[in-house]
Amino acid sequence: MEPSPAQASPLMRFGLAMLCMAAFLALPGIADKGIVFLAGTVALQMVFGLTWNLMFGQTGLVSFGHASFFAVGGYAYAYAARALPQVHPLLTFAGAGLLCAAIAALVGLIALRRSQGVYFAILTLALSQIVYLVISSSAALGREDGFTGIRRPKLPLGWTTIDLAAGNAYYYFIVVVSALLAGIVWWVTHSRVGRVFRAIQQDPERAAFLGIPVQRYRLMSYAIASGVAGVTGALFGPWLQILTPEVAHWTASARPILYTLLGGVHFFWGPAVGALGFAVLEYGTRTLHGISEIVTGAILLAVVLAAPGGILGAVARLRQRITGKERRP
Amino acid sequence: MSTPLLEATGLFKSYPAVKVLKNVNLTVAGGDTFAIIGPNGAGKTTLFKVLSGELFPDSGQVAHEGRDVTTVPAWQRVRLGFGRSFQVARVFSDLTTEDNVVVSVEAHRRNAGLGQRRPLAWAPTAEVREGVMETLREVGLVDKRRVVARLLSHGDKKRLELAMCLALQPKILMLDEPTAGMSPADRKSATELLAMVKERHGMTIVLTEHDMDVVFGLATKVAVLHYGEIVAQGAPDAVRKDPLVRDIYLGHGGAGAGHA
Repeated sequence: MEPSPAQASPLMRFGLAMLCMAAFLALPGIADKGIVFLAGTVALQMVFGLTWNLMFGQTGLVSFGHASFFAVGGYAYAYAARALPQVHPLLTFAGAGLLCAAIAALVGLIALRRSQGVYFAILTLALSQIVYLVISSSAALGREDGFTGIRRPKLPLGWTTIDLAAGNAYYYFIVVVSALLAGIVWWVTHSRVGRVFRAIQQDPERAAFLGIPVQRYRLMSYAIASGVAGVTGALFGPWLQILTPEVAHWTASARPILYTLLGGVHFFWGPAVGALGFAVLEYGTRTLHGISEIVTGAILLAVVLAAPGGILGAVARLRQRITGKERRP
Repeated sequence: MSTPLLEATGLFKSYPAVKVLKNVNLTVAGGDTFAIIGPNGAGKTTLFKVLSGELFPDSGQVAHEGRDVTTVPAWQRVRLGFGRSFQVARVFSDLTTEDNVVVSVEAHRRNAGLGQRRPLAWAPTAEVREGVMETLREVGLVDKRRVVARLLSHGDKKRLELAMCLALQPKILMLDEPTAGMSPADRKSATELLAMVKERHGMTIVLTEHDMDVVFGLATKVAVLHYGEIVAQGAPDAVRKDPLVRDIYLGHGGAGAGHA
């Protein structure tokens, strides 16, 4: 998975990730509220993209319904936070993620049993349609009007309590938790488990003949990705303060796929870079009423055709060219 | 010694149009190097898949140390001590040589119930690395450990696949045409490597093979498969002298090394 010669050293990559986080944290000091709001959303979308590629790039599972877990996590948090306000918000966030992981495990048990590839993709798409319909017809979840008035909670930390509703507190919270979630996905990808995922992605049968229970690991990948995606959804609710069924729409499921293609499927940070690039594109074309989708689509198409390895693939090739030239006498 | 290590009784397997295996019986004792030979299309690979758990037979039984494993899936058979290579070497082509073996060593350690001292560490532990290096040294791939597997030569891929199997410390090593597609020189070194591996670890080897030099250089027991039936089974010399086998391989018209 690693086109090794052209890749940055681990230390450099860690430094870049830290720099990126620092930029996010510094943003409220230099940008207006609109940009900060966008940045918070992008931070969540970056992690959301990473979780999709944990399945696709690492384990070889294509999901067309990833947004269903974003939505389930979001609505589950919103509902639970209203019904049980006395519970520590961190527990509620974690609970929303665990719920998503559990649902994914159950669905995967059936969906992954006999079907891989396109069948699994279609099944996940069907699941996301079910989630969409259930949400938009459920009175308790606000139907088409959405679940309104989702509050940013107060966060008791033992020695002090942070009011996440105050100022940019919730923005910082999103950035820090997103970094933590990205860290979890990074760890899974680079751990023993991640190596097994990659082995399965490349040749499931060979993996089975090494004594690896392929289905169990596929299920694990699906559950972890869905659980973390659920937490990003849970974080999104209080950020927007309203959730509409749109978050479960299939177009929302297409986003992580676009991020991954744009950023580079073979790179861990590809989907995160893609999400960032996608946001820049959307922001740049926001005033082109009516044709912004066309322009965005055309640019995406151009990038994917011109750089099949995505943005990071192009960067890697550029680095290779530069370092290659330097080595020449 | 009373229970054979691997025993097949009355195996039948059909694909829609053809009966591939017709009442196959064979017995592999611990320590054997058991070669399954036969002309193209005789059903060697199918038999091999049934024995290793990639396919299940329509009827009949495969027993391992007296236990019925006929429908035990591949990954569980590995835990019983099966290791298997493929006719066209299958390795994880986007991983380095080293990482291919890391995956294998870690799978083995997990199956053997060997824990990891620092469960949060993501890089392979010192024990794993040691096991990997030892295995790579054994098959002679230490110099190529950082090479991405897809860039390895055909012979080296076969070596790497053998290394991945060895890392599982199998009791039965199953090799589907270990020298397929190799040059005569590679074939010779591969045969020597297998003989060496066998001597060092003393595991049982079951292999299918086309090349008679390889078969008679390694095997302690040979079974001849012809149109899905075992027509001869026993010590290499006895099998070689068997008139029916001579007939199959040489043919009356002297049609060469038999195409079914």
